[in-house]
Amino acid sequence: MPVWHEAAKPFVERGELQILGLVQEQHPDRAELYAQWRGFDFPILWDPFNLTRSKAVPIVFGVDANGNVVKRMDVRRAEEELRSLIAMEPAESRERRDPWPGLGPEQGPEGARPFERALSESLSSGSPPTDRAMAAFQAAAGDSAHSLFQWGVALRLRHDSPARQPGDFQASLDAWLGALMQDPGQYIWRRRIQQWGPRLDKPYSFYDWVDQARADLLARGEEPRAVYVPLSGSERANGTQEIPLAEGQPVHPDPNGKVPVDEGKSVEVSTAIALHTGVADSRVREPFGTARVHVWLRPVGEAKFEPEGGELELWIEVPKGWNVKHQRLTAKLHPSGVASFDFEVRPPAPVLGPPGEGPPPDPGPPEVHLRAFYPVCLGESGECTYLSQPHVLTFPSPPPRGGDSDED
Amino acid sequence: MLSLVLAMSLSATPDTADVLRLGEPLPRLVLPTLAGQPIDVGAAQGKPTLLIQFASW
Repeated sequence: MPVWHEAAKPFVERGELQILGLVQEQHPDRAELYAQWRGFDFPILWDPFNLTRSKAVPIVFGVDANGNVVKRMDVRRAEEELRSLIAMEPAESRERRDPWPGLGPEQGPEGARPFERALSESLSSGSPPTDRAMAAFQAAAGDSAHSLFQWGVALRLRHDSPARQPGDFQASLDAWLGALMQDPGQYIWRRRIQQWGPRLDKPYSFYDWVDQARADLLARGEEPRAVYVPLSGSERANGTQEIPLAEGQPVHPDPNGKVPVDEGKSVEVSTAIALHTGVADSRVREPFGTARVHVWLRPVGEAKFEPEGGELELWIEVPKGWNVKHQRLTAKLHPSGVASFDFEVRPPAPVLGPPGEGPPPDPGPPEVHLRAFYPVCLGESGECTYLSQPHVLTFPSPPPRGGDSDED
Repeated sequence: MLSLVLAMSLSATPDTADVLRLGEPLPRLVLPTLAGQPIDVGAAQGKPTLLIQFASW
C-alpha cells in the first residue's frame, strides 16, 4: 500500500490520477489510524461485510476515466503501470451492474428487502446493528457461505457495542468458520478468524504497528485517531511455529481453596474460542482444538473491580497431554472496567492406530477448566472482597466441510 | 417468464463472483468512508483511478 501511495503521488499532484481505497477490515477506526499514520489523503471505503466478494488483499485495479476496470496493477512495476493507465484511451461507458439490488441510495433503506436494509443500516449508521437488522442477517445466514460470513460480521459489530449479548463473539467466530469450511480459498474470511486466532495459525501480526503509529504521530505533533475496541494479545502477536509448551512451575493462586466463590455472580465470565483455521483444510495436519481462548470478566450492575484489593488472575487447567504456555495469567484491566485475558492451547497430535484398525475411541469434546480470581466492590458504599469463579470451556465442534476448493 | 426472472432476482442471493471485475464497469456499490460518508464506488470517474483494496494488517 505505501508503495502505491508514493508512486502515485506525482500523478495525483498533477491532476492526472485519483486514488480510491477500500478496506476489508472489521474495525474502521484501526484502518483510520493506519491511514493517518501513513499520510493517506484519499477517500477510503469500509467494506466489513465483504460486499466486493474479494477473496484476498491487497488487490489493486486501474480504472479508466469512464469507470471501466481495465488493469490489474503490478506493484513490481508501479510507476510504469501508472503511466500506462494514464495513457490509456478510455473504453466506452457501459451500464453498471447492481450486485446488491436494494442496497443503493435510490431505493432508500425503507424500500429495500430486509437483508439489504440491514446492510444499509449497519454500514451507514455508525451504530451497532439494530434488533431488526440482526434478525435479517440471521434469517439470511443459511442462504450461502457469504451470508453466513456476514452474519458473523454483524455479531462481532454488536459484540463491540453497548448492545453486546453473551455469546456474540463466539457465534461470530462459529459463523466465520462455517463460511470458511464451505470456501477455504476465501482469505478475507480466513483472516477475520486468524485475527483472534492462535499464533500457530497467524501469517503475520495483525496490529503490532499500532503502538509505533501512535508514537510516530505524537512525535509529528498529531493526535492519533482513537482505537475504540481494545486490541487483544492475539491481535498484536506474531505468527510462530513453536508449540506453546509449558513454562516454569506455576503456583496456584489459591492452593488451599480459601478464596470464596462468587456465588452471587457479581462478575460475568464470558469466553470465545478462535480455532486454528486448519480445520477448514483437508491437508493441514493441525490437531483439532488448537486455539486462542479469549476470556472477559465484566462486573455486573453496581459491581466494579478494585485493583488495589489484589490481582485479577486466571488459572487454567487443560486436559492431559494438552499444551498451555502459562497456566496462571494476570488480566489486562481496560478503561471500560472490563478485564480480559487471552491464551493459547494445543492438544496432542492424534494417535494413529496400526494399519487395519479403526481410529481410537473419541474422548468426547475437550474441556478446559478455568478459575478467575478478582477483587470486586459491590457498589459505591458496598463491601469489597476477593472472590473466585470457576468456568468450564467446551470446545465447539467444527462445522461440516464444503467442497475441496482449498487450492489457494 | 418475466415474472419468473423477476422472482429469481428478488429471491436469489447475489452471485459468488467478484463484484469488481476486470473488463467491466465499476458496479453500483455504495459504501461508507472510514469517516462514515457514503460514496458510490462507481463515482470514481472523470480521470483514471487507482482502486486499492487493502487492510491495515
